[in-house]
Amino acid sequence: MPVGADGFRLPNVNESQFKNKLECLTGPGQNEHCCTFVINGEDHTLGNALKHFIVQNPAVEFCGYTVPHPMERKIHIRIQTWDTPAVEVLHQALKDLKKQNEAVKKLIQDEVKRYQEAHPQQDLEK
Amino acid sequence: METGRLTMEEFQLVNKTDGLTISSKKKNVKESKAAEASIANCKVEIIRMDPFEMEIDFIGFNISLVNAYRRIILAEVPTMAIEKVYMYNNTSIVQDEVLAHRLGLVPLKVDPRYFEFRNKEETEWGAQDSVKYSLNVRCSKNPKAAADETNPDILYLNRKVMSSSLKWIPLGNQTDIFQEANMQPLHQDILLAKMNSGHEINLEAFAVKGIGSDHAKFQPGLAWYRLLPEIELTREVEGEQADLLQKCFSPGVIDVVTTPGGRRLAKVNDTRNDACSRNVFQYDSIKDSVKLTRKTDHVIFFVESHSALKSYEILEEAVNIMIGKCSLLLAETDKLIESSAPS
Repeated sequence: MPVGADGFRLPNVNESQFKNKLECLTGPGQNEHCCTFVINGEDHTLGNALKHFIVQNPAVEFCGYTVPHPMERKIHIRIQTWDTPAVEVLHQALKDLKKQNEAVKKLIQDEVKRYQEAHPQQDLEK
Repeated sequence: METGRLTMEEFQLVNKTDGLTISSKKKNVKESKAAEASIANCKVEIIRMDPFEMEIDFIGFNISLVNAYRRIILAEVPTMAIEKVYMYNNTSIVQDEVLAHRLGLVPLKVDPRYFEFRNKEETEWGAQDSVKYSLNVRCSKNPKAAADETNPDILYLNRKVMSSSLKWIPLGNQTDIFQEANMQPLHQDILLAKMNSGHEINLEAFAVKGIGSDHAKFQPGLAWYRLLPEIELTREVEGEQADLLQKCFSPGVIDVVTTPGGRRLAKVNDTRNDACSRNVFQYDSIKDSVKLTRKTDHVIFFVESHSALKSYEILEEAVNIMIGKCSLLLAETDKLIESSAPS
């Protein structure tokens, strides 16, 4: 679900309806190892979590993210690596993040089950 | 993951991991799978839980992940709420737009997972994306009221319009899927309007699925978190000073125990409930006796539900949404890798 692009807010004139979810900036200071990715329709929720996973990768020299303007629903993620392509680092981090989230889901489900078995009378209907 | 401590000093907070992170990262360069290793050390533990509220500990997680769940619960977990109101007659003193707004804020028992998001261009109200309600009430004089009665609640019938007057009108095949008890407002006693004799409200309302970043009425509940506080006594605190120390913290945090020798000593009991007020630094006589810290990898997470979803369901939905975000972006990165491969 894209944040903000839904509901009943009128689309901004600068927003194109068919923009890609993920883009790669071009220009000076952009190459295979130093790349700024644009993720449309995301905010700090994903940006901060993703940044933390990218900097854990030893192949990464630098990673940071920014919300260029608070009214535009997009984030910029800057990745600079030693020798791996930046896009592969991003791919690996997303895979790790997804894996971690799936692990959390499993942990929560098991824990809820354990708690409900330990306190059978408490799960009253709303 | 290293266990970080945030030290609470009199005038500042000191994060002890600040200097460590870079050096420890350099040391662990060979451990490429830092993320995988951290999963093994992670733990979740439910402290208390009921359908409306839960307190759950996230131990060993990066705080950015926990904050993502909090932000998703507040802004992106969908629920159902009344969005469109067709007002046919409203002679009460509550204006149409105010009444419509109040209706929108009524939490509904409808499970949002059975519904789809409504298309913006959609003109029909379909069974798969909307729920219809009607409110039809009229206030009249109560013929059974005593002649000298002054209480307007008894003097008039239907004086108060409550959320229980909202009647569910099934659309399409909804009767096959849903039962009426599951489509009512979550609380039956929400006051919508007050009327006087002769006033009438007649309207139809449509509920749709939406998310909190569009309007707060779609929020499934509240979520917040805090780091586990820790208190360490660096020296013995005795007698009146122990009582003073106890008063500086939240109730139950510091115990005053009497030793067999008849001395009354302060003892740390349960730091979990401490509000981290740092009141102890007001008193020069005891401020050197404690070391206040918070564990940065032990997050106490709270979820409070005021919607159809139960507290733990809200949390599970938040994790699902996060997984969905990752899957979507993974597919996009694959596309990007493929498109750049030939060149």
